[in-house]
Amino acid sequence: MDLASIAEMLAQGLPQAIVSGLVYGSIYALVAQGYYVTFSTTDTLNFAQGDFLMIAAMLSFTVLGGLALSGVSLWLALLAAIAVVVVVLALMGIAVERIAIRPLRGIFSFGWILSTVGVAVILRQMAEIIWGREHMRVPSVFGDVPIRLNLGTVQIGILPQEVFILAASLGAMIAVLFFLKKSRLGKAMAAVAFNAPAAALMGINVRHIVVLSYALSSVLAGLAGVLVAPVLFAHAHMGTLPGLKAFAVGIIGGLGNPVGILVVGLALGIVEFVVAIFNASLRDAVTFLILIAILAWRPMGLFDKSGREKV
Amino acid sequence: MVSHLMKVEVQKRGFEPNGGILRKRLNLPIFNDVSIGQIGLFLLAIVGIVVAPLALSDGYFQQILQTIAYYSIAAIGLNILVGYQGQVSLGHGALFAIGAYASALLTTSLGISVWLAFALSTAIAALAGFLIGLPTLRARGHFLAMVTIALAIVTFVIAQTWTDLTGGPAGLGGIPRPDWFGTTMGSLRKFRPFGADGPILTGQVLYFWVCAGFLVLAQLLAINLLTGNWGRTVSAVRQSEIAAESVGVSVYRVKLATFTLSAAFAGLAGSLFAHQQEYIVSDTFTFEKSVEFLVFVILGGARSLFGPLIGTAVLVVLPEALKTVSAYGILPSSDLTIQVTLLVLALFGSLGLFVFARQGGGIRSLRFVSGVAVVVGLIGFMLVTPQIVEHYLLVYGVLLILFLITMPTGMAGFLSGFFYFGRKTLSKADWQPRFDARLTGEVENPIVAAPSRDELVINDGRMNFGGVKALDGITLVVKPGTVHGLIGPNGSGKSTLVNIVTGVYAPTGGQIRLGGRRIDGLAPFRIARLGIARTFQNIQLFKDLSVLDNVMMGFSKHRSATFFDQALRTRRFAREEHAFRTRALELLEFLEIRHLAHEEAESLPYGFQRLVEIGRALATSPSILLLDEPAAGINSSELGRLARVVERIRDAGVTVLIIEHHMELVMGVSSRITALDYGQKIAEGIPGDVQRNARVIDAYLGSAEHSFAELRRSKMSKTAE
Repeated sequence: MDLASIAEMLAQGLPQAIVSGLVYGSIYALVAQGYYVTFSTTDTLNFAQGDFLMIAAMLSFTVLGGLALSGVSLWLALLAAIAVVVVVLALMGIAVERIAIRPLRGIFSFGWILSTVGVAVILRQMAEIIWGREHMRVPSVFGDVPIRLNLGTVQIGILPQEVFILAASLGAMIAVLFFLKKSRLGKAMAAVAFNAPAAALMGINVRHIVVLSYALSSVLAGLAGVLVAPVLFAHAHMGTLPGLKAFAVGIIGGLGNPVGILVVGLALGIVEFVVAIFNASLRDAVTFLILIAILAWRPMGLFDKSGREKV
Repeated sequence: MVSHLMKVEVQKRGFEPNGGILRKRLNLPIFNDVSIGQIGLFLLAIVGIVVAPLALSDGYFQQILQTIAYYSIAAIGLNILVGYQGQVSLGHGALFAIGAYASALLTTSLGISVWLAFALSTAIAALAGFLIGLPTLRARGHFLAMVTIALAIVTFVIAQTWTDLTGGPAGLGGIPRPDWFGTTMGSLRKFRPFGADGPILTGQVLYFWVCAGFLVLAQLLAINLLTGNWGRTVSAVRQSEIAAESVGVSVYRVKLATFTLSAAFAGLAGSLFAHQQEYIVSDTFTFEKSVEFLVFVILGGARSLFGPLIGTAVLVVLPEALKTVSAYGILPSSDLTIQVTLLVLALFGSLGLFVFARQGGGIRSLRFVSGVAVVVGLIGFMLVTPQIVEHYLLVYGVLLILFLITMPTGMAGFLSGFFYFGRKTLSKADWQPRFDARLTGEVENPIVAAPSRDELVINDGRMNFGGVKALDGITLVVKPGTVHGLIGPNGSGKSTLVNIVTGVYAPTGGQIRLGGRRIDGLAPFRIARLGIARTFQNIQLFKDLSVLDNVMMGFSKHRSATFFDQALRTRRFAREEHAFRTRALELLEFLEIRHLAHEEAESLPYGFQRLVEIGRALATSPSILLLDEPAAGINSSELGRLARVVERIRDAGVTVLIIEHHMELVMGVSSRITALDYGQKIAEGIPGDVQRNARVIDAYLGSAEHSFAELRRSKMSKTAE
């Protein structure tokens, strides 16, 4: 492939890649905000986050599909699905904290990594048992007719659902950041993140904050699941890659830096789709190659200001 | 948690009374110190390996045995990393895949012999691990887990999509089996190589013997390394990286070596796998493969020598047993009552484990019953539920979490906790203090100072943390052979000074010289090797190791036995180990804590822990010893001993820089005192002068006009600590 043809392919594919990249990047960022929320309060995170996304997609298939079949309007069905997902995922988050995180304090330094990976494996297998191994279509409330834009010689296609994904996930992220910065609870979470014993002395119930952060983190993954279900087919292994890519986003952007996560999420989404112009199968590997490269260069992530340990 | 090293130490050195013939040690050129009992067990294992496949004359069973053997190799390697060194790899499935593909491609495309391919693919996987570890392991924290996830995904994607090389999901076939006795290993053709009356062999039996042979080598290597100084060092790094560096151990190199070795084990396993299967497809090497390996280790028992082997055997057999049972319909499959009963049994068992694990002593048998209930309940449930076969990973996941919560030491820990109970108390009885040595002079001073007596010079040392000037241009000369005291209020920069001298921080400005040589900015382990030893204000012992092992870590920089000496347990290694052990005991005797040699370091009172730190630092034969608040937290009756110890350290020729708040101690032992405040030197001189110095009194007590500000500052600095 010579340079000219590479430039030609780029010129043709770039606008579409940017649009698609932003859509999927926003999902990675949304899931990664969940990592941020728990990591800042507990120094742990849920490696099953991607599978929480999958469970949410499966639930939205069941609720949306079921209600739509019985004649309820799609919008109402979507609201019902969101309600179910928020409740179930919050409970799942609480359960994970109670079962896989809390009892493992002090059991090796990495017990939580192993146990949440265990949760991931369990959820995948349970989803296969409950929903089977098929890839299932979830209807979109906006229909399946892509919006086509003509930019001179280049055409871009985008599904209305994808516009919704971008808008909703950015909206959700802004809402979460606002909540964390402005609300009393959010400030309590920041206090716990900064210094848990001191926060406890100030009368903050650290236990509750930790549980809340896990619930919030899971709900974010659940929201991402509801959003992507109509554009990706729902199946038991759909969450593995988004979960791990979001994790890469969190590491590169800095697990303590929500804005870094947002920027890196969108950027990595675009990089993925640009790479896909040339080699579709490399798309899934490129994020992780970048992760390895960046960790080699700056082990604490791009935006992290590393603290020193007192000896 | 009782350290493994400690147990081994006790068993190895014949501390047990009534040793008997089985405990007799043999002085062999390699495997030095092995006991007759151990040789007996080894021979028994070999007989088992030879006989087992002949007894199970079915090719299917023989393949299961092969699988156990090579998965065990991977699990043993992973345990060295996860259990002993304390890092998680979520990418050992990828290293396994790299070994498998390397071996397959070498033999099919390049026509290399299978035997050579075993070695080469092991080396290739080790190289891959080395290259991954090279950038990653410099950082602290669980970055290896993150990067190995990336490795797992990238390897899988490459295997899936680079079909020209790997065949992708369609697979890579025609992978040869090794030839032996003129037979291809793997064929089911029967033959009698030892005459007409000899045993009947098949290729499957031979291939099992190959796999088992490698397993035996891997297990022996792991035992030799982990029960020797290599394992002690790896465990020490897990427990305190900064303390390991302070005795001259390069934490980075230890981590890199551990991960590379562990990758080599995974690669060998992958290679054996490829030549067993003859046909490999990319779908085998998903992320779940890495999780499976971790489950083998955790269930079998992380940080135990035989845990991985036990875990692998149980977990490989389990799905196969499930398949067999469901295929032949041996058990009633859909009886709901039986299923529910078994699940309830397992549930109560785990509740029992959870409750009894938190209480020691007399309810050991209840714990045992609970454990049995869990195992019987869960395995029984799986056996009567045919759908479970396809979803054995679900079972792995449940077992993983259950074990982490209720039995973090795994099956091996559970069993040894049960069976070693009596023996441990016996050994304890033998550890009664044999010495009640006071320092009356009959104990010869065992401290070896570095031969060169170097002057430590800090010239305009500066250290900023953000906008805070912790050290603001300190100039300090520590004369060889003296005790130099460093005092100052909290937050005045004393510990920061120790940390820039020992390389924990690279100073923001100024120079530090040891005997004329610039040392500022060097890594802590290099500075330690140049002869600067230290203790820590916040005690940094290797807490799971025994007191003796802690002190023996101090000799790290003087060791000359190589990796291979340790792997083979040569005489050279044994001699060295013995010599350092003797010296460590002498040091402990000098510190008046020899009777505590076999106690777990963490279990000691504060004052003793500080003495152990001093012993560890002295073992490095330093030219300068930095004591960072050695009297903090110790009671007044121990102060006298500490003062005697410091004086005798000086008498042995070691320069001492002592930071202390306890004025009586520091004024009594020091020949020169430097006082710091706000990161600056405010006074220096002989103790009496410094004590009367107005600025020093101000700094400690506050003068009239400053008292409010001083009070506030000292409060703030206390909060900061």
